[in-house]
Amino acid sequence: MDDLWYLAAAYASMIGLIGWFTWQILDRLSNVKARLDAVEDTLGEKDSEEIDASSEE
Amino acid sequence: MLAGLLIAGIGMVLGLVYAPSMSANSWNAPEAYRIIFWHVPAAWTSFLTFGMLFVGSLAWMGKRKEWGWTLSGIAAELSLLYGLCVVISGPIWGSAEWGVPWDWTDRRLNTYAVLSALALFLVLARRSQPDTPEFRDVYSGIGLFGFLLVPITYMATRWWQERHPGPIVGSGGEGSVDSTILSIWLLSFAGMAILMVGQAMVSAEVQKCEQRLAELQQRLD
Repeated sequence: MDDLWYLAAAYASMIGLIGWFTWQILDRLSNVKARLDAVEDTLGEKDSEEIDASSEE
Repeated sequence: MLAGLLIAGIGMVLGLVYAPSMSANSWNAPEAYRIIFWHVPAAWTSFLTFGMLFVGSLAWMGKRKEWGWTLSGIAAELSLLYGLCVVISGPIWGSAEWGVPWDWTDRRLNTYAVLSALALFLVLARRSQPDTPEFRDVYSGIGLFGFLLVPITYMATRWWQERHPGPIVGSGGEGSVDSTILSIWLLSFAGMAILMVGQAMVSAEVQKCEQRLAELQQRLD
């Protein structure tokens, strides 16, 4: 029975490591994409404000 | 990534339920041996990632290629991941079979531990040091050195047969292995390799987005 505990511990650690790493890169990707979208939106608004201002002149 | 996880998962299940049992007379832990159905493919996958580290480091050192720098960063993280899988599962099996988790006189164990420690060093260094050309050169130099350890680690069990089981692939017939075990290993390895490529692609996408974000933020400022 002890034998099976060692087996379970080994697989649990490997699954945990691979799962954690995969989750954290996917999380990093969704975070950076959200930030990128926010900055692109802000820049888009800024650019259109600048275009409006120059056309009013 | 999902396909890789699925295939590696099937390999694990086959290793647990379908692979032949070991004789309790010749093994101290006849069930714990099933650890090898992920331990060995993880080691092979780590050799692939160290190969990627070598290519990336060489591309940066030789031609100052930006993709080389990106690749070496991704490869160091993946080398650490699969290296940790090996150095954690190995001692668990060692505890069950040998009664000790580590044998400091076994060169295979020690060279692989150095390889994994090197990956850890590279990951930590990249996160803590400023990105300068000098740092990139030192980092890539260490990445190149790390790859030299791969053949030494692989051949260690042939050159100095100590505690760790001998080489299986390319052993010239000495370390013959049951065909079922070999098939499950290859299946798990295929799964892990696909998973690793998927992880590398996502990491590359993260780096691309972070670079774009930095450029846009500069424009905002």
